[in-house]
Amino acid sequence: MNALVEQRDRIVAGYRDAAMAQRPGTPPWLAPLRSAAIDRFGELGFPTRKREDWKYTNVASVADFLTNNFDRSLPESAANDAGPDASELEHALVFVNGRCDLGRSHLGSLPEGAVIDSLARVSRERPELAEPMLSRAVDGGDRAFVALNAAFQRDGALLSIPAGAILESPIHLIFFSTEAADRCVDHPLILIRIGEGASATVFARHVSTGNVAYTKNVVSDIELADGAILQHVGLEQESASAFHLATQNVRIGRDARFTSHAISLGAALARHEIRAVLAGTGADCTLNGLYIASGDRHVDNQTLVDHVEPHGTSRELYKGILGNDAKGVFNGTVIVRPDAQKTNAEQSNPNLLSGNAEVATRPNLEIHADDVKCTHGSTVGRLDEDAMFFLRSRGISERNARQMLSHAFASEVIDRIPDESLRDHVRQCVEESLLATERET
Amino acid sequence: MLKIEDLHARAGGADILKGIDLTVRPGEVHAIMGPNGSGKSTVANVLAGRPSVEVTSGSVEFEGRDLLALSPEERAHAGIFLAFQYPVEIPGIANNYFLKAALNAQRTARGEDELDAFDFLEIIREKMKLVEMDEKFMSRSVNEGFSGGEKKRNEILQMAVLEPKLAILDETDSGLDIDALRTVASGVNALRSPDRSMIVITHYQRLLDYIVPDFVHVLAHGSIVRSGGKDLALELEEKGYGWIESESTVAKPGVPA
Repeated sequence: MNALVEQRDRIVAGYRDAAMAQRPGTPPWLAPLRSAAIDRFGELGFPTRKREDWKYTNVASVADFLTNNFDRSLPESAANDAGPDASELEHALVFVNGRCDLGRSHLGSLPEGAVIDSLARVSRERPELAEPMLSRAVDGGDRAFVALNAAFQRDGALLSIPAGAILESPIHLIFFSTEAADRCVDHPLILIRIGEGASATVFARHVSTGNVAYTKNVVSDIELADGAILQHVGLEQESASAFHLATQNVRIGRDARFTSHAISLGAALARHEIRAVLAGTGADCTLNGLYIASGDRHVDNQTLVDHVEPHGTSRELYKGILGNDAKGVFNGTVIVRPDAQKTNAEQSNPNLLSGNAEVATRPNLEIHADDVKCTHGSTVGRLDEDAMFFLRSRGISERNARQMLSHAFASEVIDRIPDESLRDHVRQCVEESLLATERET
Repeated sequence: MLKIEDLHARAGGADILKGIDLTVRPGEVHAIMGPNGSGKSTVANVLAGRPSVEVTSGSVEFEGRDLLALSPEERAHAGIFLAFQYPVEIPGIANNYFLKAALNAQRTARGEDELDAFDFLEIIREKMKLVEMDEKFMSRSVNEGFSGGEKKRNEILQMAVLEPKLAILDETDSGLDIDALRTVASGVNALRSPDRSMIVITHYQRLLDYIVPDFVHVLAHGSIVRSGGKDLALELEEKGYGWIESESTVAKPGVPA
């Protein structure tokens, strides 16, 4: 029997035998959703490379890890565990090894009706708020990893910003893995709803201590009501031995504006999938991405921008810096549906390669409307030799010159993060990542 | 200070330099003139260490050291500076950040302390006056969107800040109108000193009206066919380069044609 099929069967059987859908503490409304989710995973199975969106990423190592570790429960975090310090942040939810650590979290004054909370807690205490958001989020269509997340999720974040509310300070979601997370699997679920005309910034970070092997399968469901604005900054700095799979579903309402800055710096295998639907007239979607990989890291970016209604605008800039034996994937599709006239869509994917690194870049346009303006393209190049010589001729070492030019290449993405504190934070992390890359060469 | 002996070099699969001999003493300004394709820029690139130029034979000694054994950055640390014919645009690196990194790299290599932002600002403000550059250029990306004249002024600014012992100006006059040429030349002249030497590479005599050389060398087909004082430049201006074609076919003593 095919290994992936066998692994799927072992997970599904193990889940049912242990009655994991009804595990202690599960709110009654949630159990049937979980049962349905494991059934759906049973139908879908692990994705194979025959699928267009999994063509360049072999799921075998992840499937293997999940099969061997799916029933290991993550250790409860202790107060004296290592953990990030969020005390200086206005709004921060801190998750240690998959559980929201309310002691470390901190929430400043919020507009009336705003909810920023642990998903597990809201699921228990306010099912009327959690149930509709969660049940829509886990309806992941043909995504096996969304089904797995729905079946196994224990905690995550629920953010609900009421109509008209403006949050000035970013909401930090910090997912922190300690050494105790070794050989563990975490399925965080992030639910975000930005009400009509409301505005917020979310900074979701995935960090770890030490070199720990774990798998994180995170699902985010993001809804922007009409006229809403959301800046979403994602910073993935998982442990070098970890697997990170992220699926983000976004619905953008009429005249609403969604901006994503997705920065991927860590994990042995990282996959970042964003599906954004421009579901209202005049919706605006910006996807900025930066992926940096060296060693034998594998990073896969899948983006889908779906223009359903007219007068939509989408801009997409994904940049990759790949060195050593790293492999990168960019598979970006823009669909313009028949009703989406007057759409303006741009997509570009420049890549900077060194060593034996490779990238598979597939920018796709599917246009079913006639009055639209769409451009797309990708480039793959190496550092400009003239610029290298210029910097070196001024006394800058070859290593520093390479790093300065790589950083300059990355800056175009970093500079687009509007919040200064987040931009500085990301810049610092990118600089450290480029330094580490240099040390490896 | 600089001693080039029988230098041969290849670039782009062709033999470009076919036996160059040149000695430059402290404080001297040498002009290298010649028609397009004569190898002028290759001389500049060999001295600065451009990796795409391959030295096939000969030697270059700089202050008693084997220059050809040094990397481009080590040559800069030793005091060599090349003002580029085509300054490179580097989007995403601010001019002031770049220049501070360069100066501090050189200071560190010489065992001096790095300058902090305040000290650097003081130096840069003073040097910018030399080339009449506005401070706004410092926060912009290196050469990005600069006019031809602004790029060349930026090169001279780098030279003023880095204070090299030997400056090589590769066609610094190309693409400049007369006002920009005057500004650039006066910046260069302000940097002349008894212990700083210069090699000024140009196609036209015009630049040498402003930067008056001690010696003029005429390069053709990869070797120096004539050397003389500053009057040689005037003679070239008058006669053009046509005469070289007939003269340079005569083999120099000791150098195979």
